[in-house]
Amino acid sequence: MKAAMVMHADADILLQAAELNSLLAGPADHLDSLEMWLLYHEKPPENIPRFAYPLAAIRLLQVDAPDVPEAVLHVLQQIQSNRKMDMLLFCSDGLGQELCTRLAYRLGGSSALTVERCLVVDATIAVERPVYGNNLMARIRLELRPYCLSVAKKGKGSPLEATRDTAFFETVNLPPLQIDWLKAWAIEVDEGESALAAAEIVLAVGNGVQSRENMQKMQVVADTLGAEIGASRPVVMSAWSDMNRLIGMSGHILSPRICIAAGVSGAGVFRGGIRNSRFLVAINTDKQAAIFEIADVGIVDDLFAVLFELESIVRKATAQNDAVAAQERQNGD
Amino acid sequence: MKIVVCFKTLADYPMLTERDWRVDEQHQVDLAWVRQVYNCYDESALELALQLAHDGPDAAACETTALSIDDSRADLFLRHLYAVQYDRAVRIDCGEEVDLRFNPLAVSLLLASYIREIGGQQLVLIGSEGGMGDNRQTGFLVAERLGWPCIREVIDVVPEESRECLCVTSRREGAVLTQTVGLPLVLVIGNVLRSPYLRVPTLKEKLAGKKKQVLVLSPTDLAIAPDNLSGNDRTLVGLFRQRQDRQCVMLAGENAREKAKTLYHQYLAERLKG
Repeated sequence: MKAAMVMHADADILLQAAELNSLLAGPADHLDSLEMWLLYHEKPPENIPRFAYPLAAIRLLQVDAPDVPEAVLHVLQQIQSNRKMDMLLFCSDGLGQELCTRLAYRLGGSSALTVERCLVVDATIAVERPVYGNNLMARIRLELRPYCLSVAKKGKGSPLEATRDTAFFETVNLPPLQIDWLKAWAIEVDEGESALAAAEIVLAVGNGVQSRENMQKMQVVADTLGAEIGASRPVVMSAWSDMNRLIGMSGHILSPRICIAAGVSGAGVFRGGIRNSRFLVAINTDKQAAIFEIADVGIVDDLFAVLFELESIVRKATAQNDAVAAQERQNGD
Repeated sequence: MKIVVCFKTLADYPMLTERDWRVDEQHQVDLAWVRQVYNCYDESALELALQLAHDGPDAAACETTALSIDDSRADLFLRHLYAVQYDRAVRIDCGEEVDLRFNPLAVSLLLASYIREIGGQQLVLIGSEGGMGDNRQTGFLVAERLGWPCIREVIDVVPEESRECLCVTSRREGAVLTQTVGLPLVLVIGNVLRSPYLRVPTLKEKLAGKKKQVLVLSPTDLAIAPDNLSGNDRTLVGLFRQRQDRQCVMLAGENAREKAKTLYHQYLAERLKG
């Protein structure tokens, strides 16, 4: 089986590679060759990921308009017509999902998004992916080649190592597509989103917070803990928090060192956003709340009472540590 | 401008408990008894379309259609959409024997056929996720079938001053993209910033909506043979509840202070240091 991973240089390719690498574990023994197709806009990346599986080639594909999927699809169609891959793997982001779906349609293949696991069963590809609002998992057999898969988002996790061995880069020159429907465009970086995505400690707040004012109090707690604040969909939809703070299957999928989920019932789509946390604390007044099913530690109590106490304890501990450090510096002088 | 919003209603999943998720041998889950709600992305799409059509400069020239592939339970929602001033409410009924949960190719065929053969719309709005299969592919596939451009993760759309274009705002990884685009177009609606919920009709509007007829179409009305709906690029071979790996330790204590102390000293103090 010949496979290619479609990645784009505008995003962090080491993180993209880590996600795709996890998907390769299933079909690895059945791969005859594995290529990387790397899309870039102006300048190709200097570093490439070091995969667990040997790469037969890295093909650099320049696209004029990286934010226009039609232009990217045009390039991918051309290279696939030459390379004739059996399987194409795409990243977990929106672009990866769109390219996966539309390219499979154009090529007459099969596609699946948010793929958690890929298996080879009787020489065909089967995937496992969340369904029913992340309440169930489906195993789906893909019937038509090329099999196009977009991996499930895993959170920031551990990126693959980089290598500067670019000896077998091959630049593929393809004619661009004329885009006449797009009259103008502008892109603006959203800083808030990046901060949450990279956070090591997260305070995830749910409907139990009850108001925008209380949300501001939670921000004070988060600051004391050194945490970034995130929110469930009801909180965001009530405008108690910014949209770029949304946690869940359609928002941030996080894997922080510590996540404290407070006042969150634990709907399937929200759980999908924090289940990769390395240590998960849940606080809820309802002892039957589904959030406790995925927590390491649970507290049945009012979230404000617990978090204000916790903030007070952490504040005192920090002050003591600062005083000790200052004394040690003084003694050293 | 003619606008169609394709929407889906879903069981209200957060109402369900662990014991309710029972999968039978045919890979079906009985959710018929559960309250139905709008898919949240579709609800945002429905409201965005109303704002675009009714609050824009060309209100008189706009026509809005709400379209759903569903059984008669969706009629309640379609009449509600009449009440909030949708011009047309259309339901495509494929019958109970057709399982569309994991078949976005068939769903997109039905939607694109309606738009091409009957509706004649130039703008399609559809939620980014929806349906029991959570396939997330229908909007992209409708665009492919119609041969139209598509913008994903849309959070806002307003008319441009020229009136022949739209200004579409969409979310990207760590960024917000604003594009001025011509029609025809498919917009896949994501986490909408303003007015994510559908407006509330007055009592008078509700009563008027109840009297209006939902247009019900079959695949045959769209010149689609039953065989075309059964073809799929994938087959569901298993449906199961995932086991949770963690065992939650519940912290005891007389009050919140005691529990917070235990949490900090036993579990967080070292971890917070990194």
